[in-house]
Amino acid sequence: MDAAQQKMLREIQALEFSLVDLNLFLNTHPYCTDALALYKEYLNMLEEIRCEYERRYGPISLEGCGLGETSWDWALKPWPWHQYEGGMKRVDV
Amino acid sequence: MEQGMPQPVCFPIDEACPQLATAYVPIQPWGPVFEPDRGLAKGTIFPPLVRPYDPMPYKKGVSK
Repeated sequence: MDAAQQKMLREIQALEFSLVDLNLFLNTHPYCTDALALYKEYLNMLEEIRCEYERRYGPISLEGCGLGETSWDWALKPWPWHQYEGGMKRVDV
Repeated sequence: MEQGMPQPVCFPIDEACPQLATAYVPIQPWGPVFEPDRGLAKGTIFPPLVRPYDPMPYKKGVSK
C-alpha cells in the first residue's frame, strides 16, 4: 500500500469515525440542526472519497463503487492483510 | 420518613443500610468539533470529552 492509498484510507477512517461520534450525539440531541448538518456534510464527503478510493484500489464496501463491471472485485482485489506481503511494513497512523 | 416513600434497598449483610449511589450526567452542549483526522487521533470529535487515558504508572511497594 503506497502513501497515497494509505492517506486516502486514513481520511475514510476519520470520516467514518466522526460520523459514529455524531451519530451518538444525535441519539441524545435529535433536533440539533448543527450536528445534523455536519453529519450530512461528512456523509457526502465520505461517499465521495470512498467511491474514488474504490475506483482506484478496489472495494472496501459491498454497496459502494468498486465491485467491478465484469468481475466480482470484492473477492479479487487485495485483502487488507495482503499489505504485509512482500516485506511491506505496516504504516502506523 | 414520609409515608409512601420507597424504602432504601439494604444489603442484608450490613446493618448500616447505606443509600445506593445515583448517577447524574449533564446534557452535552453542541460546540466546535475537531476535524475528522484529529478526532480519530483523540478518540472523540468533541473537545470536552477528550481524556488522556494514560497508562497508570507502576507503583512500587503496593503489592500485598
